[in-house]
Amino acid sequence: MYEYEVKYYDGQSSRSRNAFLLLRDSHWQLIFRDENGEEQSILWEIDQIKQNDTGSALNTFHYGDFPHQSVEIDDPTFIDDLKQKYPGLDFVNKNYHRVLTGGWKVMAGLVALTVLLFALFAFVIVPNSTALIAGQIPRSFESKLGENGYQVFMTTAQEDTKRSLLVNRFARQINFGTDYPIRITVVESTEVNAFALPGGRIVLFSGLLDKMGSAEELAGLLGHEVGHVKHRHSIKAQMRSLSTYLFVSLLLSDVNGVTAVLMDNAKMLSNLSYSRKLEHLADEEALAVLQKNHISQSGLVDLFRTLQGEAGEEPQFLKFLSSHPLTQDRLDFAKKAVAKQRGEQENLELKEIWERIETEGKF
Amino acid sequence: METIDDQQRKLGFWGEGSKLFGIFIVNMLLTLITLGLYYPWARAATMKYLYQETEFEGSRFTFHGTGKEMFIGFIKALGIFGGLYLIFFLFMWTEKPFFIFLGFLIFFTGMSLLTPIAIHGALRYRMSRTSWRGIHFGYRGKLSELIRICIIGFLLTMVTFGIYGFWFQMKVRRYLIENIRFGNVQFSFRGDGTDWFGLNLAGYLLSIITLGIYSFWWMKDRLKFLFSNIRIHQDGSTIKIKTSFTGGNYFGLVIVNGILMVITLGLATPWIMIRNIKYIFDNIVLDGAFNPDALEQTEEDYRDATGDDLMDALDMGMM
Repeated sequence: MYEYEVKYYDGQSSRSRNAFLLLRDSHWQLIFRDENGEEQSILWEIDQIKQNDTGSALNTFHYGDFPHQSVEIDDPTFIDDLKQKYPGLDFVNKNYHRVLTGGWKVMAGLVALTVLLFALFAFVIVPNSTALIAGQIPRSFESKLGENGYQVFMTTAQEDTKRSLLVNRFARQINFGTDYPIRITVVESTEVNAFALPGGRIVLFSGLLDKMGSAEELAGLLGHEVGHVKHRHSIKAQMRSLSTYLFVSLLLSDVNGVTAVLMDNAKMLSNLSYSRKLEHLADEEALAVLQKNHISQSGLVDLFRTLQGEAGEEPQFLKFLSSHPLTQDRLDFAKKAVAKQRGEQENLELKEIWERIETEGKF
Repeated sequence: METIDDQQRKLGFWGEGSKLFGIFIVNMLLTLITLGLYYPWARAATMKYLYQETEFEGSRFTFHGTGKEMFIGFIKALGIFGGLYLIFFLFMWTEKPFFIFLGFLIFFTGMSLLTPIAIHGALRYRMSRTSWRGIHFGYRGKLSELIRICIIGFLLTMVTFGIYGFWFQMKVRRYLIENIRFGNVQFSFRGDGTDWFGLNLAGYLLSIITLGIYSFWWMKDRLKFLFSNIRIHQDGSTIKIKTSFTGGNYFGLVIVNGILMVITLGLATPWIMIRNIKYIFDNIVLDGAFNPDALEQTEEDYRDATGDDLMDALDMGMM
C-alpha cells in the first residue's frame, strides 16, 4: 500500500532517477539505485515537504531548502491517497484542488459569484466611493484645477471682452444659490456651445450667444452651467472615469488586447450614460434657479429649441450613444415644467442688459 | 553517462484551457475580494500552472516564485515609482525654474533608468525561480553593463530617428541571452541588427502593399528570427533551434484566436493563452547533442521580485 513509482531529483544534478516512494506515518521514504547499482534510501520529513499548488494533473513535490530535492508523480490517485493517509494535512492547495476537481457546477457557481461581485464593484462600490471622495476635494484645489484648464483654453481663444462684461453683469442679477464665484467668459467662435469648469468659470461661445433670442434663454443656459459647477460635475465625472479605469486595469491586467478594447467600449458607454445623467441634473438645477428668481422657465425651452435647430434631428439609434440627453427629451422635460410654473415676472433689469448684449453682438 | 547525438527534441505542453480557466476564476474572485491585494499571488499561481505543464525530456519545469515574494517586490516597485513622483512634485511645488528643471531631470533620468533596472531584476528573478529536474536557471548579467548598453542605444536611437532601434533591440537581446546559465548549459544569440532591420522594413512595406495580408508572414519571420538565432551550448557541443512557423499556420492561430475572443467576450482567454504556447512549442525543435542528465546546480538563489514587478507595472501601462 501507498507505494508509487516516481522520478527523483537530488537538487545537485539533473540526473533523473526512477525511485519508489513509500508513504510512512511520519515521513516519505524514497528508495532508488545509485550509479554504482547500490540501493539508497532517503527520508523526507513531512513538515519540510512544500505544498504543491500548481493545479496540474502531474504533481511535483519539493523538499527542504534551496537547492531542493524533488519528485515527480504521475499517478491520478496520489492526491486522494495523501488525504486518506494524512487526514488534516494539506499537501496541495485546497482552493485549486476543489475548483479543478469540482466539475462544471462548482465552476459555474464561481463564475456567477465573480460576475456578481464584479458588477457590485463596478456599479455600486466604485462609483459611490468616488463620489464620496470627489465631495472631499478641497475647494481651493478645485479652483486651481479649473483655473489651469481655463488658462490653457484661453491661450488659443479670443475673448469678446465687452460681452463678457455684460453677461457677467447679467449673471449678478440672478441668485444661483451657490457661493462659488461665477465668472463668465464670452469667446469668439462659430461653435454653438458653452461649458463650465470646476470652481466657477463658465465659457460661452459667441456662436451660441448670437443664436439666443431672450434674456430668459440666457438665464436658462447660465442656470444649467452653474448647476454643473455647484454640484462639482466635472470633478465627479473625471474621478469616475479614472477610478473605473484603475479598477478595470487592475482586474484585467493579464488579459490581452481584445478584451481590453471590449472593456474600453463598455467603460465609454457607462461614462456617456453618466454624463447624460449629469446633464439632466444640471437641467433640473436650471429650472430651479429660474423658478427661484421668478424668471420664466420657457427660457430653457427656447434654449433647447436653439440647440435643436443647430444639431438637426439626431437619428434614433444614436440616442444611447449621445453624451447629452437627446435635445427632444430635454425639451419635453422642460415643457412639462413650464406648464406647471406659477409666479414668473418680467425682470426689467435682465431685459435691459440682454438688449445691450444683443446690440453688442450685431457689430 | 551517455551522450545522445544528433537527436531532435521538443518542448511539450500539457496545459488545459478548462484548468487554466479555473485558476483564472479563483484569481479574479480573490483579487476582487481583497481589493487587488491578491494580485501578486494570482500572478504566481498562473505561472506555476503554466510551468508545471511544460515538459522537456520527460520532466516538467517548476516556477518557484511565491505571491509573498512578488508582493514585497510590488511594494518596493510602488515605492520606487512613488519616490520619483514625490521628488517631481516637490520640485514643481517650489515654482522656481531651476528647481523645476532639476525635478524634471531627476524624474526623467530615474524613469529611463527604470527600464534596464526592471529588465535586469526581472530576468534575475525569473531565471532563479525557474527549475527543471531540480536545477535552477540563472542570469549573470551586470546591471551597470545593461544600463550602459541602454543609454548608448537610447541616445543613438534618438539621433537616428528610431532607425538604430533595431540594432539596439538585438544588442540588448544578445546581452540578456548570453548571460543566462542553466547548470553547465549556456546560451547565445546570433541575430544582428542589419538582418532584423531588413526583415522589418521588408515586412512593413510588403504589408502596406498587400493591404495587411503580408503581416502574418512578417510576424512569422519575426518569430523565426528571434528563435532560430538562439544557440544552446553544452560541453562544447551546440544545439540549434529549428522552427517551422509559416505564414499560413500563424494566420490560422491569429484568426481562430480572434474569433474565439470575440464570440466569448474574452472568456476564452485561458484557451487562447494555451493555443499560443502550444503554437510556439509545436513549431520549434532543439537540434543537436544534449545530455539531459549532466546538468549541475551552479546558480545561486535570488528571491527579490522588485524588477519583475517593475516590469509588470511598466507593461500594465501604469505610467
